Amino acid sequence: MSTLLEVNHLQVAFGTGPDREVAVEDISFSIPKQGTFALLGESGSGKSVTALSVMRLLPEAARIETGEIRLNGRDLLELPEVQMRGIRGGTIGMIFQEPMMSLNPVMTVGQQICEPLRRHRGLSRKASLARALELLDAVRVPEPRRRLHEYPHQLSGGMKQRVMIAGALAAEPELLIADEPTTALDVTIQAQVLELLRELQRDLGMAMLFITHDLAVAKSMADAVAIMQHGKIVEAESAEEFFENPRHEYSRNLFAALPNISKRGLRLHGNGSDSDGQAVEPASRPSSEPLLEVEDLRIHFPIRRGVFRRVVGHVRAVDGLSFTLREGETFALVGESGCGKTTTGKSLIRLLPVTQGSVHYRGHDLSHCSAHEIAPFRSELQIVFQDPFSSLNPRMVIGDIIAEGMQVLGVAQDAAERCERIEELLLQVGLRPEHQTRYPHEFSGGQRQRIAIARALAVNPRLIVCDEPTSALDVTIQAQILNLLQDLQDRHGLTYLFITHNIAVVSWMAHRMAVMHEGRIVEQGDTVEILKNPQHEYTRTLLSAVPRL
Amino acid sequence: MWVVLLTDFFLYLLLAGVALYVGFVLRTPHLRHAWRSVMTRRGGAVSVVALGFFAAIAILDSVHFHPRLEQPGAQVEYSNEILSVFDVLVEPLRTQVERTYSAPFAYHAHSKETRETPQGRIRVYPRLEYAGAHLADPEQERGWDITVRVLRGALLGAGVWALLLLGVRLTRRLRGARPRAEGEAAIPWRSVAVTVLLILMLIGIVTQLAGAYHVFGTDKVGEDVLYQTLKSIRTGVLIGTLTTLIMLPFAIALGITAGYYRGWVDDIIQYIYITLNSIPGVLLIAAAILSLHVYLNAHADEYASLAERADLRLLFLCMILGLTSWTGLCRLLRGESLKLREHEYIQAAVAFGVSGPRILMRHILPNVMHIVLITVVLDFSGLVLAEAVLSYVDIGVDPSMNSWGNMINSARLEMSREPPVWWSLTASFVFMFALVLFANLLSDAVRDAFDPRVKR
Repeated sequence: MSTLLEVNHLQVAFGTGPDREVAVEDISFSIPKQGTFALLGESGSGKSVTALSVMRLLPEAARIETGEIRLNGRDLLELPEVQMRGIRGGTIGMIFQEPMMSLNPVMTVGQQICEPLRRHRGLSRKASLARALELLDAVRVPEPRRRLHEYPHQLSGGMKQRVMIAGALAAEPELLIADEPTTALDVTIQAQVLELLRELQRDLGMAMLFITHDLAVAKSMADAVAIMQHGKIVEAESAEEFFENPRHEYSRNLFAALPNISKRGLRLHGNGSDSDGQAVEPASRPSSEPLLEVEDLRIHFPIRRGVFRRVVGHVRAVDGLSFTLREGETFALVGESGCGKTTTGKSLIRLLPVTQGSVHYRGHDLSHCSAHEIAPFRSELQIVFQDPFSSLNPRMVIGDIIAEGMQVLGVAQDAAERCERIEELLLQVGLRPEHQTRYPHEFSGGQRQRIAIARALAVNPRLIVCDEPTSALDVTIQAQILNLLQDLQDRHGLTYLFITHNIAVVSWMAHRMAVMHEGRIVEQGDTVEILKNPQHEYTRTLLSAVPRL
Repeated sequence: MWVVLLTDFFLYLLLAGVALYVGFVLRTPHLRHAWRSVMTRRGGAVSVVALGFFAAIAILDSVHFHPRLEQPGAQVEYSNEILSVFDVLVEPLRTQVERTYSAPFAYHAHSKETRETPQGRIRVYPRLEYAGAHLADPEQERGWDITVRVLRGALLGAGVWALLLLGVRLTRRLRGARPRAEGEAAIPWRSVAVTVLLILMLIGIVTQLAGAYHVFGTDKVGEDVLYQTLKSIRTGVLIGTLTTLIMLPFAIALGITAGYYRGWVDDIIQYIYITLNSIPGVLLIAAAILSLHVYLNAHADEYASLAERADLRLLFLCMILGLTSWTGLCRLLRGESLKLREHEYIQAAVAFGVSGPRILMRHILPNVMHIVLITVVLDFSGLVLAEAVLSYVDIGVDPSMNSWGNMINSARLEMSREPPVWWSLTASFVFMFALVLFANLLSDAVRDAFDPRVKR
């Protein structure tokens, strides 16, 4: 097979002079015709910068310092901009991570796909529309004729990504660059999109540069992989060889950091700590005492229309949920986006009102009590959010953030006591006491999540709702946070309601789990049992969609 | 005997507020950083210096007193007139009043007058009483005299500047310059120094010229136009700042309350500002000013001096402008709070049972302050211009008060004279333009520094 794309000694840096920061450092790789090459790495490792360099679409501050990028033997870096425009969307197509951001909201689907067709293939209006129809059919958009005239906001996330792919394929590129194409999608949709990409590649005979942070996704797609760390390629190998036997230490660490069912009861590898991979103390067995009983929980949001804002209907976000949390256990609520799992979590601690049903916490009904009546339970029910960047007030120092709950709930009365407790908490979550005078922006995502956990712990909670606490984090950081949550549970006997879409995390962490679909629980029970032997149709679909290593 | 007019009081209040804010900025790292980045932009640094000059005049012009009357007896008596410290500093400008119009740097009046002479009645340009009075043969000597005075003034200004620079250098050397922290950009001291030099030279030149000529000519009653336009600075600055001071509490309180609580609170507040927005602002202002007129006429005896009446009217104008202009900022803040309330740190606070008002104060307010600041600085120049427009249509400040709007208003008739009297309009335009330009430069720098959407 002859080589299509060849990248030699590419080096990209942001800024100049003393502020210069190297984003990509002397990397070389090549992609054969019709081959799939996966660039793997954690956030900030330089994979997207590499892709953008190939397209010559780097942001203004970035500069390609050395190297060459050869497409069919021609150095793209030497081409004048006019010719480069012919290559973008012509010979090289690109799809991005966020389908919502990459489609123009004021253009119809048809217009967006026709644009490259007319630009690169010189088709007439009519011919381009006919071709667009074929393309939509090829990416398996149902009712393509109707979709042509629809706007992006009328499509679902998966459908938008299909439209994006159709647009990228319009000019029949020889190389398709896919930058995290499925990261924003649910697993079942992800499985469909990946399958689609594989088929299209086979049919059209194009090569693919596949950028991802997900080892399992890379395994299902790539012929060859390269692992990037801090802008360098630390290991490049054929896919078979790599997944069989990763050689570089960093690659092995990535595998070790992934949670899965076989590592239950072992610590995940999360960089640094000595006890990585070791067995933990047998987790304090969850008692059979029920801590929280949820019965027939319903949360409906009214849809209002017209001048008088009449209620014309309801969105049934949560529609008849029943489950029980036992003291000291981790109960996972699993489901795809929009299934109502986050709504459930928030309503349990009364961040959202409950429409119907009951929530009994240690015998007290919390579902319909007033703000005054719930106050005594505020300290026992806490929450950790998904996005570490929006969960800390950027205008407050860490000490104040952690102290807020204590002040309001009167946990530690005088300032000295509070200060002592803040230091103790920071140490517990793996930070240093001197961090309390700093602002959130000085911390990384993982550190911020530790701070958010410390904030919740500050008021001595018994139940913590963990709302996707690791889904915004890289795998090694995720491993650290999961280890931390596990440690804290063992030490304090905490009960977690763990809300996630990540089956791997559930399989490692949860004692019991419930699978949610369209506002209902379709199946619940012991985690290992459900994973090994799913009963419900939806559970089976969900589990089979998860890419495996 | 010192007098504190109402607007003076509010200006002092504002100054105290600014001083508190500066103290707060120095203690808060992210604000200090943002303000520093304002100062590192050349436009920002230069406009801060220039606006400081305008503000200094406005403040000097806001310290009022009744002058002591020169009387032979031991009895100390005070005049009914109210003067400011600034008036005293520019004494000759205020007192050297000609009979009527005269052009800039003229030594004779603008129009001919009939004189009785032994040869009969002739029409001549009469010599001015003060301007050029020291010249024996003005036609020959004036050009040279002006050149000498300008040079002398410029040198004087440069001399003071050099002394100042030396002083700053020395204190810095003695105290030892603080090493710059990593990542901190340098403040463009060179530009600042050049701006200060230019201002000092201008002051020097004007002080040299002012006693002997009318730099911007005189108006209909012979008053120096330069004096009028300098006095107008206070009016402009007050309108720009007091209005904001009055508007901020409404805009902030209503905006973040509406955005955070939503529901019926939001509905009510929205209805209020939509209603207010749909009434033409000029109409409201005209109605308010006219009713103030009626009130003042009915209670004429309570307001002893003309100055106090004019002052009350200025304050009233600020208030009514404030009441009509809070809606824009309110809407911005409502939108931002709507966005912020969904942020997870707010939800975390709710999960702790933190009360609504406390969330507003601790979590929402600090996170919308950049919008407030940007709007305040942006609005300033708009308000200065609004004053000019309102005074032009006679619903602005009192006609007896010096303001650019009043000057432009009177220029309407002056421009139609033959030959036209252009200097009133020009002088007010130049000063207003300078103030608004610097304010806009500053607002640009402030927006760049504080707006999170502007990538640095």
